[in-house]
Amino acid sequence: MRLIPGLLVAAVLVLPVAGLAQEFPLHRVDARHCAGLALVRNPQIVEAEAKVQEYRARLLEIENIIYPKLQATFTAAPMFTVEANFDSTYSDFANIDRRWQSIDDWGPSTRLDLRLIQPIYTFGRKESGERAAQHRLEVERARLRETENTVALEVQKLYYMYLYARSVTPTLEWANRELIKIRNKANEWYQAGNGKVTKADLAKIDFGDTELQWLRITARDGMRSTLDGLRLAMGLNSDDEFIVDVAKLPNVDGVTAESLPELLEAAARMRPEWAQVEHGLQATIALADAERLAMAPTAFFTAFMRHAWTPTRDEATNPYLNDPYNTLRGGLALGLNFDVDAGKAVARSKQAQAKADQLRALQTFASSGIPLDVRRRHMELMSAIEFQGRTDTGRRAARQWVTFASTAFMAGVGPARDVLDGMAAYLQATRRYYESIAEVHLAQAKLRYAVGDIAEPPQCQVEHGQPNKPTESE
Amino acid sequence: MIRRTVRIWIAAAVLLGPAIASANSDALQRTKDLINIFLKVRSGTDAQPLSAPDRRANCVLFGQIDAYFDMETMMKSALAPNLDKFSPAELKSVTRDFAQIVRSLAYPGSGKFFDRAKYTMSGPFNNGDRSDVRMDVLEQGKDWETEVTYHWEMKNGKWMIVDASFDGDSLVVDYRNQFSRIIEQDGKDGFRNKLSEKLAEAVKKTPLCD
Repeated sequence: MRLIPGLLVAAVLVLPVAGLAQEFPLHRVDARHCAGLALVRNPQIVEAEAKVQEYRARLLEIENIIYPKLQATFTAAPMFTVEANFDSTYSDFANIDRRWQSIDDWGPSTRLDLRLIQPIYTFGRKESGERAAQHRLEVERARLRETENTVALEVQKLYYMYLYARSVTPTLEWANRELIKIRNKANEWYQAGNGKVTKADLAKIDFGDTELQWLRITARDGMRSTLDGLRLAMGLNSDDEFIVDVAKLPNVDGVTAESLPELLEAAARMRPEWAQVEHGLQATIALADAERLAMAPTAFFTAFMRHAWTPTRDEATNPYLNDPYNTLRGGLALGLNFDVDAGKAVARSKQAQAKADQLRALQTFASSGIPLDVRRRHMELMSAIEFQGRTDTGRRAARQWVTFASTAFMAGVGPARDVLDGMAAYLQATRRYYESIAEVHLAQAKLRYAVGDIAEPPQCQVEHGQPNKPTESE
Repeated sequence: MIRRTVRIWIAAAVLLGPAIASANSDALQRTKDLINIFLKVRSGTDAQPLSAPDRRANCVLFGQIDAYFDMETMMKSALAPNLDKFSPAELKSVTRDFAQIVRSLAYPGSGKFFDRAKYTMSGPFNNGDRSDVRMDVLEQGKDWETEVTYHWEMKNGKWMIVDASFDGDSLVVDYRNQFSRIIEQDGKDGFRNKLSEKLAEAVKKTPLCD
């Protein structure tokens, strides 16, 4: 019995927190998660998926041509009194009595028309229309893949530029702390007049400081703007918290590029432009067939019925008279429907021609542009890998510069200037080092885009954790 | 005869093998022991300087750390091209000054450094008379990675550090070049004066132990 109040208290305390967690979902992401979320939520991809649905619906519309259609019309209107004996000669119109002066002379007049139409044969028009719509749907699917690839590339660019800024930040912050100490010490020496520093040395330190502050601000603003870009690319709301769960750019030791022939072969299979060209051409041919058959009839089977009732008018029972006010008739029939519109046919033919021209341009790009793109990106990746190796050496050399200048300065046998110069060199070398790592990652992403396999299937895992905005220093 | 010779060699290998292995593993153990002493060194700041008991405790630790470094060998090696310019007393004096500078400037921050850094040790690696222990260090706050190699030599039955390398380059060799440059520019006395000035500056920061 004592447990129940405790549970109630716990429930009261827990429920608002649980609601809060659901109201502001927190995403902990790395490169794969970012790409996964973007492939699900990016507005451009959602729009492209909607376009695919649109063309799927158009295909469905054409497939439904062969399904039965029901048309029904019902009307009701007031009608005045007309009395006449239609069994006698129908030319005796002098004896027709029409009365409308009194309200009692008026009554309802209803009419119901029903028609059930079952198309039977379209003389090939439906089949060519279906083919055109199916291929057009495949074109839109290929465009969706193209959009996914573009978004995935954008996400990777933002992700690695964010990590670049984050990677250089610890070195920048360390340099800032050291520079403050150095400036204080230099000012102290200058005031003491011991000859260890001159005004030019102090000015050099101040100049170095402005360069350093520019780098810190650039890194800080770079992190913010790339995070905002990532948020947009991933389709997150402005109040969705997310943190990048990686502290530094991933190492690229051992990264190599696949062989160029393999990449060219893969691009020939996977670039969505090829599918667009292939299906686009098929759609154009099918559309041209459909337009050629546009003036062909549609054979159909129909069942029809008409019922009209107007109690204020005498019914004409003479079978040779058509009484639109009182009648019940129906029947079954076979028919042909013609829809001849020469102007529309000419316009559609020109549209098909324009589409064919677009496809020819795309085919030209695909056949020469794609292999060129793959070659260029492959070369860029090879260069980036080579350069990255050298920046590793450069950073190591700058680190030795600082180390040995510091040990010499500590022993009193080396000037402070060497330490400062070493620090500046190390800062530059570190920036270049991380820049080169980011370049390798970006070159890999651009190569994968050129090959057409950059967008992995969505595998996002959303985790909830402590809200933690990215900090400027680790 | 041959069988007897072979048996003697096998016996020697069996007897001496563990001793050699033990001697080599001492260099790694000595490095670990040295690091453990460094970790006990207390650090003060300008805002919060060390208390007198902490300074006394540090002095004890500095004495223990001194036992791991063969400053005499290091200075002789660093002054090798100019050794003939120094009398034994002058050599002793510069060695003492240099050791005091290292004590005052390098030892005090060592505890904080090893506390914050992540490091892995490997070795020992035989290098002629030397036994090298390698330490890969990462200072996360600075994103600073470096490879430090401690070069140990057996002196009077104990492993002592005679040199250290950073990313493969010897500290003693660099000091040799630095010292030679100063001695060539300013002479032996200029070099001694530089050390004295540096020592005077260093003891302002960290007073000498009694």
